[in-house]
Amino acid sequence: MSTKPMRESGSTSVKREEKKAKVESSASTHVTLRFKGQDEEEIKVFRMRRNVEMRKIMKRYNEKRGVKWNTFVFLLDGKRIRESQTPDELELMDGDLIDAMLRQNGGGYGPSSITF
Amino acid sequence: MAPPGNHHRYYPEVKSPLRRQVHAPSPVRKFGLSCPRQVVSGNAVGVLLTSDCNSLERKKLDLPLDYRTEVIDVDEVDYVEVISDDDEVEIVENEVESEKEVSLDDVNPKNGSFMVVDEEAVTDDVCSFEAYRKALKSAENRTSKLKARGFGDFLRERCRGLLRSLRSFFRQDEEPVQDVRSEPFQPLSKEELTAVKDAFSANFHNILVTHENSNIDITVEKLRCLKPGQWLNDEVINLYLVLLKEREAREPKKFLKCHFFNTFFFTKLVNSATGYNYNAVRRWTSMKKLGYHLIDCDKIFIPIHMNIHWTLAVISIKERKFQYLDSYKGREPRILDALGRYFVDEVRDKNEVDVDVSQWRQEFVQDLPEQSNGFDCGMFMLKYMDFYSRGLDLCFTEEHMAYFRVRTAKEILQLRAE
Repeated sequence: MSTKPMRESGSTSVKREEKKAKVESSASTHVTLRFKGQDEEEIKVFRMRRNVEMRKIMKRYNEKRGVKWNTFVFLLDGKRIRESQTPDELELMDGDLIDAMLRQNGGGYGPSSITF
Repeated sequence: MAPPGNHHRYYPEVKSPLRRQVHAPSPVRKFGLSCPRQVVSGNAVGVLLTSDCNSLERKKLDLPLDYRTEVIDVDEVDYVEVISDDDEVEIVENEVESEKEVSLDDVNPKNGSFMVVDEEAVTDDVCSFEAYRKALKSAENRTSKLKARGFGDFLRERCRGLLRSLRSFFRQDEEPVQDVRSEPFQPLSKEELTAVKDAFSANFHNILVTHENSNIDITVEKLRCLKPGQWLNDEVINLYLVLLKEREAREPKKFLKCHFFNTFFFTKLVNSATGYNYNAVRRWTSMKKLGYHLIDCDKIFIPIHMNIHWTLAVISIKERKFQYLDSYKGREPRILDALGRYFVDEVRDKNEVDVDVSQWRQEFVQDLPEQSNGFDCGMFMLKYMDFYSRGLDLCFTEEHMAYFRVRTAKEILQLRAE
């Protein structure tokens, strides 16, 4: 993916012109959230209603990544996000970054996957 | 199960503690012995070192075998946890230190003070390990009880053992008498065993428990990772860590002050895309979230997930060391390097203080229960944390894993770690 300004990449169906006015008009009803996958550099930006369950945006993210539902665990500042919660409940603000982490399993020995 | 009150260690292997020749004294930890930069009078040793020891940065003192294998019982206290000193403390360094064996000709022990005279070239080496070793030998003859250990670390371990026994001694007046070392091995009741068995065999997608604060749901599917032979998953591990923290909050005097990072922390801190990235986790430990600062803790636990293996890193603040525990005894110094860096960044960010960890040790713990199968490493990691947060040594083996799995399942079902 080419390096575009963050706000331009991966947005859902919101017209660019409306975005500039969004802060004033829809700050109370919508919120813009950034999603960063553990395994990728790019940040995807989504916009959703504040009173809608996070499940919806999680599904969209998974679709965008081309993976099935439940592939990722979503964290906000280290704490898991429940799919039944809404941005209002979580007190999300515009520009908040959500981490999409791969699920983890382990028990045996294998090559180290941490690169420094 | 390990019998309580047994003063011997339980580890399957006993390794010879020494592998190297005698080298220079280690730098000061707490008791002010053998400090490279100070004039020290060590009461335990009865030796006065000269101050010209600047060249001795981070060298380790290996005492002769007769010192290491000796075990001292602190007299006045009945119940003492005997700590044998076969912890192999490894100092990870890049440069190879060349030790010069300087023979001492003039040695004048005088009422505990020890001045070294050496005509030959390197004076700063002379007043160091050779002199020190000779002084120890002569001091041992003089002092009977303290037996001239000369280890700040060892004395500290002794004191901690004493403190622990004193703590349990006083606790006996308040609570029913229970040997603290048997608590991690308490057998389950019949009802509890049945509950676990039922939980394992219920419908796959049933949610068994929900933990509100951490937003973790445990379904039957997730809990079944605790069945024998199964790999542990992040839900079970992270929920258990939350329960450990809640346990400490219920009885703060009984446990060390700990912080348990979840399994995603290190993955965010260091990853292949960005390398080390403090900003990715900066907001995870705000005062608002935690109610405390990391620097106020005794130990910070960082579970490490490596592909299909779980290991543990510990920042032991009181002991000023970074530890790495791997049930397969692998080593990853870069992990400890990254955590050292993290700790400095974190303290600077939250406390606006510069902490210097350059003198802290890196310890790849060798004296730990080892894993021989291919599926228990997650449980080993959890139990390292459980025991350390109790202030206990790792007095369990792979044979306990089956019990630990059932016990952890019970604790998750009850949302309560004991």
